[in-house]
Amino acid sequence: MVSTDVVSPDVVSPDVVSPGGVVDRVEDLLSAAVAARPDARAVSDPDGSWTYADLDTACRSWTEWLRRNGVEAGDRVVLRMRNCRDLAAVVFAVLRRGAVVVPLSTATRPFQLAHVLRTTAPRVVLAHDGDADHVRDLVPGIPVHDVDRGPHSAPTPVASRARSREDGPAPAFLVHTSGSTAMPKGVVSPHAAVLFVTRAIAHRLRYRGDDVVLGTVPASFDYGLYQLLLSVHATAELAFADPSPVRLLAEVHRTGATVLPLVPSAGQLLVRLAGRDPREPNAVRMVTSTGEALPPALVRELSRVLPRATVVPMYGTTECKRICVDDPLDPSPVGSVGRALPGTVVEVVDESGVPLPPGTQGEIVVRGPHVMAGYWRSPQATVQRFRCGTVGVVLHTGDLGHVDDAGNVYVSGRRDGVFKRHGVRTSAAEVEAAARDVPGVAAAAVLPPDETHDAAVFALRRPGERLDDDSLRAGLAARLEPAKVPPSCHVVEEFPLTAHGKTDLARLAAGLRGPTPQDTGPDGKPLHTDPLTRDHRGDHRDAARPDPARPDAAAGPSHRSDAA
Amino acid sequence: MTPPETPAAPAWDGRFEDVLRDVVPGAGPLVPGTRLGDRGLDSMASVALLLRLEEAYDVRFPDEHLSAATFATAGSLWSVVSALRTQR
Repeated sequence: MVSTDVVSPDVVSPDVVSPGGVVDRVEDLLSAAVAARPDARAVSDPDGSWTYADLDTACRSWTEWLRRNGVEAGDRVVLRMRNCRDLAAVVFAVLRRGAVVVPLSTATRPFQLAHVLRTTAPRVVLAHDGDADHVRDLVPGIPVHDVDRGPHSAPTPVASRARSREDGPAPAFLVHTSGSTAMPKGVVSPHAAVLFVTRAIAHRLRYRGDDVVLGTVPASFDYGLYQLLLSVHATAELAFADPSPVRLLAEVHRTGATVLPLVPSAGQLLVRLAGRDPREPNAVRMVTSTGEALPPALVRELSRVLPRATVVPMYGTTECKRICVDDPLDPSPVGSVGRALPGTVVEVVDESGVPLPPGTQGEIVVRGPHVMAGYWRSPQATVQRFRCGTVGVVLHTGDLGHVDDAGNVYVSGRRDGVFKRHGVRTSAAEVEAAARDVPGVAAAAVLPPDETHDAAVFALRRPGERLDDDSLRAGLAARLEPAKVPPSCHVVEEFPLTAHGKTDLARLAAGLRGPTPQDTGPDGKPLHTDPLTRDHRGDHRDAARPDPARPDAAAGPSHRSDAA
Repeated sequence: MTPPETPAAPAWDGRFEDVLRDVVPGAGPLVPGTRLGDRGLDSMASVALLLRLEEAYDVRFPDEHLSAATFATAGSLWSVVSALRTQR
C-alpha cells in the first residue's frame, strides 16, 4: 500500500538477514533462530521451558494438526489463548500453513467475541480447557479445539468453502483493536509490514541472545504478540509470566528476566510491589513502555526500584504497530516518546491534513512500510484512518501532539472519544454500545477520564425496569473486558440535555465533581505517597475525599492517557 | 487454613472486613464465597489489597501465596491471611 520510495529500508540493514538465511515471511524468523541457536532457550512458562529446537518440534506438530484439520492458505485461525509455550508454537504453525493468526483476549466477552467470530469466519478456533465449550456454543458451525489436549485430536470434517477475493493476499495477523466504534476491528497486518516493523524496533531496542524477556502482556495485544517476534529475532528467551498482578515482581525473580515490556499501569504495580520485596531485581537491564502515557514520575520510580535498568518510552498504534521507540543510548527529552522508527515518517497535520511546522499542536500522522493494510472487511473505517495521498498511504492516528525540531514526538491527547484504561484502548462509543445492550437501559453516555475523574458511565433507566448501579456494572462486566468497565457506573432517571437536545455531558461531569471530588484512580497519584489510602471505587465513599493532610491526593496526573 | 469458628460467627475479624470494604469496589455483603473479581477487584486494587493486609497484620505473603487462587474469593484470601498470622 505504501510506496517504499518515501523511506529507506536499508536504514535497518544490520538486522535484515537473520543468521539462518533470508527472512521474507514472519515464520522465517523461527527457522532462522532454530538454525542459528537450536539449543538456546526459546520460550518458557510457569510449567516449563523449550529450546528453539523444541519450539520447532512443537510447531511442526501443530502445523501437521492444522493441515489435517483443513487449514489452508488464507484461512483465519482464532487463538483465544493465554500466554503459554503452545501459543508460541501455534502462532508460527498457523503462519507456516500460510494461514492468518487472529489472536483474541481470553477476556473478550461473548458480546464482542461473537462479532469477531462472525466477521473473521475462522477455519478453527483454539481455546483453553473450560473455555472451548463456551466458545463452541457462541457461534455454531465454527470448529473449536481445546488447545490443552495438544495437536493430537482426530481431524474434524472439512467443509468446502469459498475464499473471498476481496481479502487480498493472506496477511500474517488480524490484530483486533478497539477504536471509536462499538465493536473491535481487525487490523490487517501483512508479512512485509510485520517484518519491517519488527526489525525497526529491534534496531532501536537491541534485544540480545542472552536476554530473558518477560511475557506479561497478552499476545492478543500487539505489544505482547511482537515480544514473541522480537525475542525470536534476537534468539532470546521469552519467559511467559503468571498473569496474576500480585505476582508480577515474583515472576521477575523467578524467570531472571532482563527485559520487562510493561504497560505503565503494570509499571505502577511493579513499583508498589517493590516496596514490600527485599530482593533487588538486578538482572533487569531494560524496561520498555507503551500502551498509555508514561508519566515522568513513574520513570523515576522505575529507575529507583530497578537500578540497573534503562526505561525506554515508546508510542504506537496497532494500525502500524509502533510509531516511536526512544533510543536507549540517546534518550529523548523527558515527556517525549522518542523519534520515528528508522525508515518511517511521523508528521503533525492540521484538520485539512496540511503538515504543521515543528512545535505546533495537531494530529499525528504516520507514513512508512509499517503502515498496515487497513481494517478487515471494513472499507469505510479503513478510508477514514488510512488515507491515500500523493506520498502514499497516510495513517491518521487520531492522537494529538507535536514534533520538535529534533524530531522528538510528544503525545498530548485524542481527537475523539477514545481513551485508555490499564493500557486497554476503548472509547465512549464502545462502552455506550455495551451499556445499551444491558437490560433496562434506555440510553447511555460515557465520560472519558480526564484530570478530575476516571471514566464514568451514565445509564438512563427504562421506566418500570429494574436497574441499579451494581446491576449496570455487572451487565457491563459481562459485555466488556475488565479494563473497559468504567469504575464509576451510575443509573439515572433522566439525562440533562443541552440546548440542542443532546445529552449534556458537561452537566453529568459536574455531578461527578460534586461534593466528593473524584480520585483519579490507581495511576492518579504521585508514586512516593502511600497508595493505600486511596479509594478505588472512585464514587461516593468517604475514603475518596482528599485527605487535608495530603493535599496531593486529588492533584496527581490523571490516569487518562492516549499514547498506545 | 482456618475455617470459621462457628457457622453463625463472622468468617473473619473486623480488620479483614474493614480492609476488604475499603479496597474492593463493589457494594453488598462479603461472605467467604464472594468472588473478588466479580466485585471489581482489578490489578491495581489486588496489589493495594495485598499491601494493606500485609501492613494490617504485619505479615509477608511468600511467593507461593502470591497467586490468583489466593485472591479469588474473600474466603481464600482470609485462609492465607489467618494462616500467616498464626505463623508469626
